[in-house]
Amino acid sequence: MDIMEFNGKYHNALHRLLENGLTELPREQARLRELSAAITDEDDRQFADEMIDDLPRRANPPQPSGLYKEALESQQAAFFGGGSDEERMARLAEARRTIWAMADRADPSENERIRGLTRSLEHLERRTEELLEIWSEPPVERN
Amino acid sequence: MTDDWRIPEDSPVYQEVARLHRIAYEIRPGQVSRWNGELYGFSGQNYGGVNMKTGAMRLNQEKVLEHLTGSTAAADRELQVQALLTVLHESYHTRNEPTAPLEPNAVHARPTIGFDEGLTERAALNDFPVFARRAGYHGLTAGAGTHEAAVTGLHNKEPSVGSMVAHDTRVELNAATNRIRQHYTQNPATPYPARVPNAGVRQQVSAGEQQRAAPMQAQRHGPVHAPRPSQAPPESRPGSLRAVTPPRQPVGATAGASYPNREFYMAFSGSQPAAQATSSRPSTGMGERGSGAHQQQGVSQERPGRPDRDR
Repeated sequence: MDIMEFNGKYHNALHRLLENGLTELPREQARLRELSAAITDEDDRQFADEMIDDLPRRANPPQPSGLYKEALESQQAAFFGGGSDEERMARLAEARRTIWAMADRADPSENERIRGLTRSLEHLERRTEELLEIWSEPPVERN
Repeated sequence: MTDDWRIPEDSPVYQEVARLHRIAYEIRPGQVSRWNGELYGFSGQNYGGVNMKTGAMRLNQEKVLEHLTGSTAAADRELQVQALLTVLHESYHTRNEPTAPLEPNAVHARPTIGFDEGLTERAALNDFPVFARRAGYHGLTAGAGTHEAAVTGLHNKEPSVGSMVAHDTRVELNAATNRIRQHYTQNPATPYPARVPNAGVRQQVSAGEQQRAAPMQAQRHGPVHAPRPSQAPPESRPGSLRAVTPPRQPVGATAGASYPNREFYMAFSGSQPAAQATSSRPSTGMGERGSGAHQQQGVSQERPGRPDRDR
């Protein structure tokens, strides 16, 4: 067991707790402690134990603000919406600007996290443009 | 970009980006390194990224570069988290080829861009604690669960990307299975008229079995294609990142080596395209032992690339 394998299982456990509530928290922590005991590197094992100690806090986080939720909805709507390439690019750019402006007026405790939601939009916008040029033939369309 | 400025390779911030890039590769090794070693700064309302065509990396001065200080001392932690997440995310993007000319089942499709983007951001968020710790930025966490909680809350109202993809896959797979089942019910002696999805490989197939055998043999045993100039590994460039990026490796050269069972790898690597499984004789890597299938082209793993003498 190495730290990256442990980290993957840790995040699986975290997402189960976030989705299903904290009932299984003690059991998840016990399972993770069994895994961390199998980590051979001492420093990594200690770090894994720290992550397990931190699991209750991460599994029961402060509720995101209304502004954060609004920004997240904007991000997802822009990310998943259909349309032509031009429409998608325009929508992504617009959502990116909107969320960046939301971050500017957000509480300092979460403004940079809101801004961070633009990273995927920026990449999708830019990479769509770049990949369509790199690909030697037009992409297939869904039926 | 015209307003970008080149960051010298001997500057502390360049060295820090290069160090972080190396750590990202150490914790999650990739197939290739597409960063060409060039780093540019800029100001504006973007985080930046790696250009898929040139391999150059550009990062926002105020939102990223200024916060790559090597430690959490005297830092705005939230800004530093986003700066480090950006570098980790960018480094992960440079680990893969943007196209797969020799993968028979690969196709160019727009949804794959978004899918890759979502997976990369998720991987960066998940790996962040390990990455930050390895890099000496102790005690930083990305969102501490708030983002996950917000996403979970949103997806409880709307379908998430994961469940949407799963649903679509299930529907398409069931439909395809039904088509194949119906075909063999009506025409049990005729192979299903499948075709290789990748148009480039399909042309090779139609040009003859011999041409198909060559790249497949190369894929198993050696380099499959030379890097384009823009993709040349940084270590091949003068004064570049000799020590900070892993050596570029051809995609197929060592991929199978990490699997404990070579046949398992061959069966699921895409080297045996589904479209070839419609031959009237078995031609997959699995289950061909003792079946006389060594007479088939493309399955003779002990004698790879052997011409089909039996047709």
